[in-house]
Amino acid sequence: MERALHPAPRGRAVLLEQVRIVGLGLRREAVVAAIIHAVVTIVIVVDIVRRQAGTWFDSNDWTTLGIAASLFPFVVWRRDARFGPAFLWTLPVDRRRLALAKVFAGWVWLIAALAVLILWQNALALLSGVAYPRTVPLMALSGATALYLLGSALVLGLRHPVRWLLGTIGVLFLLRILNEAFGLGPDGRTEAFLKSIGFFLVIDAVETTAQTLGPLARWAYVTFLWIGAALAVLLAALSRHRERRRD
Amino acid sequence: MLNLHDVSHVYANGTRALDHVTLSIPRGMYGLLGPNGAGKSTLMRAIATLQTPSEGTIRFGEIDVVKEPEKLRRKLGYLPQDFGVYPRVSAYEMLEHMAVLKGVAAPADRKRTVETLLEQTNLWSVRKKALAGFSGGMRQRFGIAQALIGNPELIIVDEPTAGLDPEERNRFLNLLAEIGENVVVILSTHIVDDVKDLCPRMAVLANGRVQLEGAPLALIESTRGRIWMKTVDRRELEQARGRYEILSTRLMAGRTVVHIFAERDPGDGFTSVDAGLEDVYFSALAQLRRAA
Repeated sequence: MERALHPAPRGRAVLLEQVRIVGLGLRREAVVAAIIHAVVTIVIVVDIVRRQAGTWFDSNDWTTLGIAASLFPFVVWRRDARFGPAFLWTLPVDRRRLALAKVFAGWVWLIAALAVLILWQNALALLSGVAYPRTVPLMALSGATALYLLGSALVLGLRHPVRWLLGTIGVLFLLRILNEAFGLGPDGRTEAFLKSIGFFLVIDAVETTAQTLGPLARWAYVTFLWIGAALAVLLAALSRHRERRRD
Repeated sequence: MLNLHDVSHVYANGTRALDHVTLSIPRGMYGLLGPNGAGKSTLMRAIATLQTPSEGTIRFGEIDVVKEPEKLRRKLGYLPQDFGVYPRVSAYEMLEHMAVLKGVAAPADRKRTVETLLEQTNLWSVRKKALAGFSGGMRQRFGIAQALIGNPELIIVDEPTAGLDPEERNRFLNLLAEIGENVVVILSTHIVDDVKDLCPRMAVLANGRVQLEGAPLALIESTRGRIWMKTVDRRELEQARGRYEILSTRLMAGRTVVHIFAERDPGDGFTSVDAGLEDVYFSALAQLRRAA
């Protein structure tokens, strides 16, 4: 019996399906986050009632969110065989496109979670009656996006990203200790090296341009550069997953 | 028909996993037997387009699998030894996911496909259970269900019954037998009984090479009159090892039943027995050891 060749799946269908399946795979984490949220909300509400809520809204620092965003790809890609023959490669979907769709899916859920967090914090700030509350700004979403893309590039570009990450942190930490303890800091040499490759020229050019712009335009400009750079690194990482064929 | 011609594969560390494998596999069940390290999984991965062989050609009908793997993937069902994805997702959700990735676009078609497959593989009652909670047999049945999405024409099943209890194994093999009538199904295994029960054609792979190929009954017939049996104690067993080509030993009521390969009656209390597929398989491996 002759069977018709099954059509290859459409890009939009794959994208939406990846968003769905990644979301399903994050259910447990979502439940844990919701429970933590609920507990923290109760604590904040109690402080609001006692008129002691000021400390909850005295900072717009989003470093923690940034770190979480950069590590989120490790959660999205856990258990996935990113390198070597993987079962999903037997399906009629280009593997790079599938990987990119999964990166997008993870981003959708990350931004959804951060947006809920920011809205939640602002709603509580409004309820608190604190004058001039400081909360995580909306621009953190763009920063989180860039960091998430860089984290995804790390996960997709390296076979052992955790080792590289811990190793890099360890080396930087060691260098700092050596610098502080024995004054053996490479800072002077590091600066000379960065200068030699034009790093500071680029930074100066970006800063000069940014200073000519208004606040919103400056944010858009810097966001465009950061996300553009992160996407470039991600695409370079994805190139490791192109299908290699014998001619 | 699946045709493999002169397929070889050498890994980066120099290991030659496949060595000029040539096979023609028609519609129906086809058994690929071999010990661990024979090259079976390498061959299955090459056919399933997971890796490109270093040399040789693989054709499925008009499709050149090496040059156009994406075309084969639209006709392929693959049951690997391990999925490794989304263990906390339910069987229903995962099958839906696979259906989308296999190009079953219309939601109504997808629903019908998924529900039919869950019924066919006897997983309907556990369709909402997370895959992580599945037993080995359930996981294999789920594996067959996802391999059947999209009505594939080529199904590759890699070591499917390893770790299954007898009841689960039986259920799984019955399922395979049902689907193996109109499509090419390659069953790669080191369990002789799986091939004996299901496959009208088979090959024995060892050291990356095809050692034997043909219909099991014909292969068994070719060893007629050359398989001999004797029940021995431990001391006699050690003596027999030095004198005869022992194919297999099996304990029965505290004593050892020995099967040997000999062109003529070896005497010494041995009796001629009807060969089984196991004897055929072991004699092929013994021949290989002799040649080495």
